[in-house]
Amino acid sequence: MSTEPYPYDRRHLTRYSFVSKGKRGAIVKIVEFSPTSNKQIINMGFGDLMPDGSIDDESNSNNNDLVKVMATMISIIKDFTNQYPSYKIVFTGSSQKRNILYQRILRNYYIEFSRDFTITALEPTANGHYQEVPFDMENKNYYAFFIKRK
Amino acid sequence: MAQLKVDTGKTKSKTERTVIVTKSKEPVKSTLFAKKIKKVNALLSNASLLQS
Repeated sequence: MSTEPYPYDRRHLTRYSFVSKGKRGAIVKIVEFSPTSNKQIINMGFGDLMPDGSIDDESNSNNNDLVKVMATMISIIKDFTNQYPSYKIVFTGSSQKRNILYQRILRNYYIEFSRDFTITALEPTANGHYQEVPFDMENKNYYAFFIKRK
Repeated sequence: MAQLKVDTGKTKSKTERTVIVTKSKEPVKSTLFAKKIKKVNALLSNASLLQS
C-alpha cells in the first residue's frame, strides 16, 4: 500500500488513536486490543470517538479516506504485533452487513495483508457451531476474522 | 491515562514555566469495546480453531 498512514498515538500498550481527515472533517479513531476468553487471542476493537467519550463502532464515517485509514490500521497492527507476535488478533463487525464490508476490505488489501499476516476467518457449520478456516475471497458468510503475524 | 501537568508559571519567571507530559505504559484497565468482546467470547466458545 503506497498511501502514507496517518500518524497515530499510542497512549497505552493496547490503545491507539489517530485522526481521520476528510470531507466530513476530523474524526478521532480509536483502535483497542483487549484480551478474550482465549488466552492466545486478542480482540481488536475499532471505532469513532464520540464527544461524550464513548465509542461508536457501528458508524459509517464516509470521510472519503478509506485507503489512508486502512494504511493506518495496518501500521497499527504491525506495531502491536511487533510487541506481541505470538497473539492471534480477532475482529468482528457489529452486524453481518459490517462483516461483509470487512471481508471486502480484506479482499481488496489481501496482497498487502498477506505479506506479513496469515488471515483466517470464522464460518458457521451445519451443526450450529463455528470453525476457523483459511480466508476465502469468495465466501460471504464469515462471522469473524483472524490475523496472525507470520 | 496520559496526565498533563502544567505549571502556570504564576510564581515563576517566564523562562521557568514547565509542561510535563507523562504517558502511561500500563495496559488500560477497562475496555471501550466490552459489548464486542462479549460477542467475540460467545463465538470463540462455540468454535473449532486451527492450531497456530
